[in-house]
Amino acid sequence: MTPLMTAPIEVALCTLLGGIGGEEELWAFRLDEAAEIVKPPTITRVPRVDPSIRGLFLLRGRLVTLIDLGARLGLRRLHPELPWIAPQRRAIVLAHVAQRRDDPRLGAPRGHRREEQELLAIGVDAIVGVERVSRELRAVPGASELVRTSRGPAFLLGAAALAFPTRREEP
Amino acid sequence: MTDRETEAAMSAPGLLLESEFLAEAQEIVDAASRTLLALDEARSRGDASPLLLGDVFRAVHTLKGLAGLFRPGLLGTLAHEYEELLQDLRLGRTPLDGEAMDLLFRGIETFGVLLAAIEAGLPEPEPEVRALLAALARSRNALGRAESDHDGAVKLESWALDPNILAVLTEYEEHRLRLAVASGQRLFRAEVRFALATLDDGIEQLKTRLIDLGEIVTYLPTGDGADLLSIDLEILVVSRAPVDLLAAALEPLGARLEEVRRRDETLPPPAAPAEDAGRDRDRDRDDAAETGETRVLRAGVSPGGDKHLAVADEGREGRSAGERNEQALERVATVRVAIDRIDGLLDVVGELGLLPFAVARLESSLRQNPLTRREAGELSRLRRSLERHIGRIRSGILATRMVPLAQVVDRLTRAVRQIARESEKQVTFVATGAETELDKLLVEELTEPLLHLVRNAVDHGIEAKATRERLQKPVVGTLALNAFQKGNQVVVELEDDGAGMHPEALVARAIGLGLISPEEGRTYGRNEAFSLVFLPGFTTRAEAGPLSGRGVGMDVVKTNIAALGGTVEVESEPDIGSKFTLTLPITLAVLQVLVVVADGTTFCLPLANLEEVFPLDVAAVRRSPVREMGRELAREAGREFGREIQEVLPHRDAPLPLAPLGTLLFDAPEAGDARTPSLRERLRPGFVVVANFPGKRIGIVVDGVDGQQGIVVKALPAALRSARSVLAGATDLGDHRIGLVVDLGAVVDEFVREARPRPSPLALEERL
Repeated sequence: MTPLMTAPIEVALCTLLGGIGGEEELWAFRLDEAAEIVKPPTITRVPRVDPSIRGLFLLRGRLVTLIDLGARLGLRRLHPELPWIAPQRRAIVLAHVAQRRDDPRLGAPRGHRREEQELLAIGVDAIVGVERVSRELRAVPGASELVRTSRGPAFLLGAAALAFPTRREEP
Repeated sequence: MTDRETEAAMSAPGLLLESEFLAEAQEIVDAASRTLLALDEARSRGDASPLLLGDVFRAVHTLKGLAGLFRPGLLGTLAHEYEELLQDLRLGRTPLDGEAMDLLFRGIETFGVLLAAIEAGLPEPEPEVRALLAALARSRNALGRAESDHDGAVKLESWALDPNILAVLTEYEEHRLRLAVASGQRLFRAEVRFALATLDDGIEQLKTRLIDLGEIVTYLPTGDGADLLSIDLEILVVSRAPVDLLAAALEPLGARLEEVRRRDETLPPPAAPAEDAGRDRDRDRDDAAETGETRVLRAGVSPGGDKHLAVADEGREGRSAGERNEQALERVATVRVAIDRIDGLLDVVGELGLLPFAVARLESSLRQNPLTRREAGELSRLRRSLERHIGRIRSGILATRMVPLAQVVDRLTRAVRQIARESEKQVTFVATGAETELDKLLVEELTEPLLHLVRNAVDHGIEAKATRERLQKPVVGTLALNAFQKGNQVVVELEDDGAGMHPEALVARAIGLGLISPEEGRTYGRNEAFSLVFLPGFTTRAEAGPLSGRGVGMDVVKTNIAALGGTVEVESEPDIGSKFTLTLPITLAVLQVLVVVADGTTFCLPLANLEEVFPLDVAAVRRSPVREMGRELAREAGREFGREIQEVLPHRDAPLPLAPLGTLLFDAPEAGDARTPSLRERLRPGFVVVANFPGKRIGIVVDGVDGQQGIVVKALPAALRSARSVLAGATDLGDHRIGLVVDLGAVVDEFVREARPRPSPLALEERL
């Protein structure tokens, strides 16, 4: 049966060292979510966060959260010897709209809610190309989406899913 | 903008968005609340003004209309029932007594809760609303109708009024008229001509001029305006004032005034109005003038206007007119702006603030070269000008976030009223300085702490009537709020003339509750004793009352105020009263911090909670067994107390517990890691920053201190929300560095209670 196809989207294809087979894996990010590609400057460590969050950096006065994709996807444990991101590598910055309520500890603003765009950066090893791909409407909702690219299949990653991973059980 | 909002904006161009509707609805409720408070106050003087009731009625009517457009359902139903109650009150069907006022105030609270729920996208508090609806219905059935026509005994027909006028009076107007003449007020009729273009202004002026003299029952257009651009109004006024005074008040408007007398007081006019109802009014007036039955005073339009106004209370008159004007101007000159937009602008200014740094670098490289030294000087001048302008933009934007404290004061006034009624005490709440401006977010976050203090003051502070009489104090207690600006800070004082606190009693109580040891208690001075009330778990009540006394609250007040970068102080005299002084930064946006470096990361520590900074002398560090108090607290919290030994530094006659900032914030090293050096080994020569919270004082060890700075705090990205347990935000320090703003209160609390689930590395190291 021919899978249902939706309109093609543009993606940036990135590679990341230390894939499941120890080889380079291909990841795709939607270009409409990608704001820019930067070399992360000095990174500030942040206490009490998931180990896959490397910290914060400043991008023209805005705070950007830098995520270690390998750790977020659980690949780091497979290849602990690999650097999380080679120094010359780059990060792809994704814009993500987050909804936020003000800190409940401060009590007063009842139901005060605001939405703002937050920036997330995903550390990758290299950007290998930009191309149009077609998405398949998949039968299993929530399953990570595989897209066909000229370089083979790639996982399509969205900013929202990366910003708020499903909670892993603490040991 | 959410998709839903975008959709709404596109599908209904020109209509309010939901967020705007909510803001407007809240504004209406706030305004109605203020008017109710004024009405309550007037009622307690025995002078319930129908004008105020009318204002509330109109506000709620508008709300009902808005709700019908945007939120059919509970809000609309509630607004409708509330309006019905107001209508009954206006018509005198229901007496305006304490019970009715309670119901009205309860309605205001419920509107607030309902709107907040809608805004937050939470389910509507249906049980609460239904309960109020039921109460509204009950009150109308119980109180209403029975003697609804008690003023009907007065026969309006016996006044020399045109029956045509009587026929068009609304039920409300007729009720007011009956009430007034029944109470012996005199009835006047006036005719006044207004230009159509300024009709609203004219009517407003008319009301203002008569506000202290009498009540306007109705305005009716006579339909015979002199030309197309003006309109004649016939006005019925009831008043106790002498006719000359009324005439003088109306003179500047060119009004023609006459008194309407009872028919039995006067001889029947040659042509009785009843027989010739439809005839020309001018002739009527002429007839009246000829017979001399009614006094006719015709005043010309005087060019001097107000100067001729012969009203006794002229100053008051003038002021209220001015106020009205100001209100009108305010309406025109104000725009409502979402705070997010202002924050967006602040972010841009933050980025802009980086430019001078880049220019300065360019400057210094140009200065190296003798050929470009002059350009460097030029550039330097331009840069300084740029810095100045950026500073002005920043303070301008910050100013737009400022709102008067009055918003909170209204809520507090309602709270005092309610608590006083519930605890059967008499309390007057006096607020001064309500116009003091504070950052919008600060005002919102100040509400809960202030409500708590007010609740405590009425419940614990103000004594019962009998006690006050015995102490020869005024029976009615006073709670005074005073707010004022002091430099870059705002001070809010809350003072009661209640029972006050004994410092010795507080210390004894704290020892009794096991919060401090008897040895510690002996060292407590007066101020330290008062600050005991901020300890978690502290209460002076043996049993929790319905309103307070559960031992939660004051510590939360302290924590909340500290989170805003502010402080709370207590002063008290037994039998004289207590005074709480809150000192807050004017804006949340700029926070004064100490910039420090620990473990290679830059942190900002809010100055408000810091006591002093001094270099660490590693050799002076001692180890000491952990105080019983900490273990007690940990057990209460159901946690294992992980630490047996604590490094301390002898400091000002008391041992100061030490903790490196890096260890406090970052996760503890892997359990069982034998390489973990002992704290003493890890303490590098650095600095000790003393953080002081009530009952908790610790020395935070940092590697370096970079000085003091005013910073703009940004909230942490949502992806880092787990860090919010110890960080209040982050900031761009302006030199390409991020400063993580530490929530000192939370960190110190955690350290003292040792409430982290993982055992502390220090405890492990002692076992090894």
